[in-house]
Amino acid sequence: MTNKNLIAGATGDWEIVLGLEVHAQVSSNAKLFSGAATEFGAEPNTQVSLVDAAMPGMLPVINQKCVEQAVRTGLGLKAQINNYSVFDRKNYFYPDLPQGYQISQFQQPIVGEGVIDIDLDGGEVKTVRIERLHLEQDAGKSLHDQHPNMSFVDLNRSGVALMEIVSYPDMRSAAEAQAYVKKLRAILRYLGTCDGNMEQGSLRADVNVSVRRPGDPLGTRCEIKNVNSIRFIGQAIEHEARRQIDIIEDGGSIAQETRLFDPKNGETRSMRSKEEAHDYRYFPDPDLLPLSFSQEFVDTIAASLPELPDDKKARFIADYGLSPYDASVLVSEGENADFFEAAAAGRDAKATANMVIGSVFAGLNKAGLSISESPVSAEQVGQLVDLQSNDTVSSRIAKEVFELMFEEGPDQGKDPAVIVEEKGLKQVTDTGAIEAAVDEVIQANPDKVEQARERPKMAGWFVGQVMQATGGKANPQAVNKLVMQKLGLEE
Amino acid sequence: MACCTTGAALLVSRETFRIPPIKGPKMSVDEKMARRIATLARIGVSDAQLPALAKELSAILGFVEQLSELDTTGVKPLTSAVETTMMGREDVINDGGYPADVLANAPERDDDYFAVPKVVE
Repeated sequence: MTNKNLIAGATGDWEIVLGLEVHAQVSSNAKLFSGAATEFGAEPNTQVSLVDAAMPGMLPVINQKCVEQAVRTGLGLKAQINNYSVFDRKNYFYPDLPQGYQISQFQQPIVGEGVIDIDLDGGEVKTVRIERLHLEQDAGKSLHDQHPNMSFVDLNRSGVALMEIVSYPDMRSAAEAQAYVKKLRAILRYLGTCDGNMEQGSLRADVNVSVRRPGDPLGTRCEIKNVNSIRFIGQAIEHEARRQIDIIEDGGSIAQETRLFDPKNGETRSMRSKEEAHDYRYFPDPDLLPLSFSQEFVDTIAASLPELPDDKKARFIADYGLSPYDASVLVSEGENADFFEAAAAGRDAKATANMVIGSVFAGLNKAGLSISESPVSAEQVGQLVDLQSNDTVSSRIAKEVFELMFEEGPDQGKDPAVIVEEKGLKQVTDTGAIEAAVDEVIQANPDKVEQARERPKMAGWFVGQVMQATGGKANPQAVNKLVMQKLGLEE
Repeated sequence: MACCTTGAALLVSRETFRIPPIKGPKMSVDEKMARRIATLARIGVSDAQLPALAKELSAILGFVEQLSELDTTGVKPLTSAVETTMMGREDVINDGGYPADVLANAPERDDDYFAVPKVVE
């Protein structure tokens, strides 16, 4: 079996081995151990309690909601839930870490092993194992570009709850790592445990990259810190793998280190300041008791889990007869799937899926709108599918009607039937009228007729001309049939 | 163990925590290790202070090491000595909104940011 993921070096093929640590900000009103707000974008240091600022004598008190969100996420990852876990101090010095340590979980995390099925090209599915999920505090934010020789520190993020989700090194290509982050993000968003907003830093990935000869033991890895977009994850991996291969092929060896990805030049570089900091001297936080909860608490959360992307995809394929590809596009966001289901209710689901993916998503993408801002409602999309299904309009005119509705926006939003009526877009099925149009085109182009007899594919040109002459309103099947007849070609 | 049997033991005598003589020439912390611990803790230590520090730290470790004489097979690590579960808070915003207090002790500031010597990756 050939392995399509291998990359060629000067001295033979190499395999990339990837494991990801994703930091996902827990969706909660208040922080993990204080009552300060978590909302993004506030004025500096306005969402900081004296606990978050690490004033002497302040004690952490855990936010129950964050515990619930971590358990909910663990259940969504089909993972082992640990009813007993322990918070530890991870010690290091940095200006945006006022405590001098991060409260995290080391040996006894709240969630153990789980799995994520990732969707690859061609409908292939691969299972990536999750090693653990633990709760920890975020640090503050340092700004380095505001002053020539000072760094500015904002502690608003300090103490916000994060879930660190660690995978096993099961991925073998940049595409797999990207599919993993996409799927994890979708699951978190379905669960409502993290908003998945990568631009605002709610979801960031540390990528562990190593290379080896196929079949060899694992190579030495480098960790690329804080990559904050799916595109950058791909670029960082491609660059880092190539860098490691070049070093090894030149007779060198890889030093285990932490690296940074620079989006400006698409390269990774060493983070020297972290070299000495790897001795974190973890120990149980004496300010916090172990975290324990009942099985009943877990069961209650399990009973309230929503339908997750994989289950929804399976249902769309089984109940609506959609292709795996269409189904996975529709379920990537819960709101998109809801929109589709509302539009498809009681009508041709495949035609609806085509219109939702081909027209609605494409239009929203182009306009930079989210599904909740769609100028065309799910109900109107459904009506338009009906007009197409009962041959009132051709698929081409349906697209045009959609664009008209989209441009008019939700305020003037006319139903599709009204637009078809007003603009006179009803499909012409009257064979006499179509025949006349076909005759006209044939008479005007005797040279093309000759060519078409030699090369029957030319018939398509005639169909196009007739469609144009009738403003796209002629029934394409009827036009096709007549053109073939008149040209004396087999259909 | 014996120290906690009577009420009087609450007043811990100096005798109880007397550092026992170190058995043999054991120096578990050498000067290099002492330097590393000081660096990790961001404590300024001169070279002249290192030998004494290394000796003291070794003695403390030697004292604590007496615990390893006990057989703890099958005993779970004790994370807390309190027989109670952790109390939690509701997910309610009831703190923050006082940047002036948060920044009151800042050696330097710029608007409502802490300003620190530049740290750049």
